[in-house]
Amino acid sequence: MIIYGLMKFIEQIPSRYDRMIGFLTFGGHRSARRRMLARVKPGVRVLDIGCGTGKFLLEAARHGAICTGVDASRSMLAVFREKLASEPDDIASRVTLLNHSATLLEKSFAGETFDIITASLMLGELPPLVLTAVLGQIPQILAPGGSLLIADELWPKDQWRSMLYSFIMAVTFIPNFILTRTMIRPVKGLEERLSEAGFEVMSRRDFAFGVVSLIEAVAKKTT
Amino acid sequence: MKQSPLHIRLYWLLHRYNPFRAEVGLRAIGNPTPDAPVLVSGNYAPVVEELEQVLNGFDVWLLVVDSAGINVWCAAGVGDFSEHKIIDTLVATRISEKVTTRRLIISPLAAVGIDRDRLRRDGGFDVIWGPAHLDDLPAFLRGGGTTRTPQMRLARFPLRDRFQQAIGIMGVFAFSLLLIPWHRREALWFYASIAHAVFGTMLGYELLPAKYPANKTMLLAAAQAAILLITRPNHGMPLRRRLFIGFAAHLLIAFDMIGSTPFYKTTIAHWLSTGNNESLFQPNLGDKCNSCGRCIEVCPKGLFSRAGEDSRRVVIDHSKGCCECLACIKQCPREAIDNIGRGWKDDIKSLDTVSRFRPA
Repeated sequence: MIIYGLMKFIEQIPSRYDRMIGFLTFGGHRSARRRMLARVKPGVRVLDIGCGTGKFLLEAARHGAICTGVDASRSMLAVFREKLASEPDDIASRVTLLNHSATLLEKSFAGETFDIITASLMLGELPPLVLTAVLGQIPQILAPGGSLLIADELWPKDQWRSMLYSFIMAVTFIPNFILTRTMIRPVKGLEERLSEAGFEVMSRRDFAFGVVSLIEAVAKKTT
Repeated sequence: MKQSPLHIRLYWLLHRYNPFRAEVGLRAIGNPTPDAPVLVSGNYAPVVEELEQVLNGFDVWLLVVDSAGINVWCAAGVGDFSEHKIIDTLVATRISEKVTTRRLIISPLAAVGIDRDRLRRDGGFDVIWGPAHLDDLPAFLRGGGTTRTPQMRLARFPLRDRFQQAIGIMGVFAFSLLLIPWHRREALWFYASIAHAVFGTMLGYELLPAKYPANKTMLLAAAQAAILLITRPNHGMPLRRRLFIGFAAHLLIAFDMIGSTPFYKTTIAHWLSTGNNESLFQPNLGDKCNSCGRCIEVCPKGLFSRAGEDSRRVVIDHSKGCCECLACIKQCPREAIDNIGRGWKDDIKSLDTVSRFRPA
C-alpha cells in the first residue's frame, strides 16, 4: 500500500510539477524566473532547454519574445501545449516546442542562433558526462553577444555550508522524491564547468537563501 | 569484476525501492574490440553491478544510461528511460568513434519507453531486443548476441528475485517499528504479520493454491486467522485486536501485489469487486496489423505469436495473462493494437497515442 500510494501520487506529477517546485524551492525559483523575464524584450529569440510545462517560456512569449522550447519529456510538453491552447493566437504562435534530448541541440539548430538561452532546474537532472556534453554545445547556438541564463540549485563551495547541505539533502530526500518524482540535485562545480565549456560567468545571484541561484554567462572573448 | 563491499550490498537490498545511481557512461567489460557487442542498461546501481558479474568472462561494451537510478522497466514506463536518455549517452560518450557496430542490445522490458525508429534516426543506432532477464545474457551472447529463444523474451521472477523483493518490502515497512516505544506488542505483531504475508507470498508463490498473487496473500491471512482462532493466544493483547492487525497487514501486502508486478497489473477497486488480479487492459489486433511481429519481440508474457509454421499472421493468446506493460502499443508502428479489456490503469507515461483507450 505504501508503495502503491507513492506510485499513485507520482502518476499525477506533470500537472502538479509547477506548484511542487515552487513549494520545494521556497519561492526561490519564482524570484529567479522574474529576474530572467526582466531580460526578455520583444523580438528576442529565446531558447529554453528543458522547458517543461512552460512556466518561464510562456511568460517570455507574453513579453513578445520568439520562443523555442526543448524538452525530452512528452508528458511535460503535453501540459505546456494545453496551456498554449488557451492563449491568444499571437502569443501561442510565437512558441515552438521540440521534443528531443538536450544533447541534440547542435544537430537540431545547425546554423540557427538564440539571443538568450535558459535552463531552469534541469542541469541537476543530467549525469555529469551528459551535462558536460550539453554545455559544450551551447556556444555553437548562442548568438554573438547573447547570454546563457541558468537558474538552478548550486552546491555551495565552502565546507561548512557544504556539510549543512549534505544534511538537508538527506532529510528532504523523501519529500523531494515523492512530490516531484525526480530528484532536484544541486549542481556541483557549475562555474568551473561553464568555464571549461568556453563561458565567462558575468554574475551570480542567490535567491531564497541560495536554494536557487541565477547565473549569467556569456561566451568568452577569443583572443 | 570487483563487487561493492557487503554492507553496501545489504543496504541496497534493504532499500531496494529507492533510487541508487551508478555512474553513467561507456564501460569496457573484459577487452572488447571495436566490433564487440554493445549492451545497454539503466543506471540502477545494484543491477549494473549484477550485470558486470554476469558478464564476467565476456568481452563486451556496457553503455550505462541514466534511468534516474531505478530499474529500466519502471523507468521506461514513466519516461525516465527513453530514446532521449540513450541518445544523450551515445552523444556524450562519443561511442560512435569507439565502436563499429551500430546496434544496441537492450532489455525488452525497456520497450515501453523507447521509440526505436527515433533512436535510429536521431541517434544512429538500431535496437536488438536482448533477453528479458539478465540470467539469460551469457547464453544469449554465446549464441551470437542476435537471436533469442522464445523463453528468453519472457519476464521471469525466479525465487532469488522474489526473495530480494521480499526483503525490500520488509525494508519499506520497517517504519512500523518506530511505534515500538508506544505500542511495543502491536508494532511487533504488525511487522511479524507483514513478514508472514510477504515471505509467504513471495517464497511460497508456486505452492499457494490461488491463481492471483493478491489472493495468495489472502490465503495466508486466512491461515493466520485460523491458527489464531484455534490456539487463542491470550497474552499481550486481546484476540480481536490481534486478528485485526494481522488481517490489516495481509491486506496491505495484497494491495502491493496488485500494482505493477511481473504478473498482472490492476486496480484495488477491480480486485475488491471481482476477486481477481487480471489486468484491465487486454490487447487485440485490429485491421491495421500487417504482421510485422514487433509485438512478439517485446511482450514479456508471450501473448503474441505467429499463427503457425506457414502463416505469418500474428495471433494473441490471452491465457498467458497480460501484465499491462503496454510495450506492444509503444512498439506497434501502425497503431494496430486496440484494447478489448475493461479499461486500463493509465500509469504508463511514455505513450502519446493511448488517449484512445481512456474510458469515455
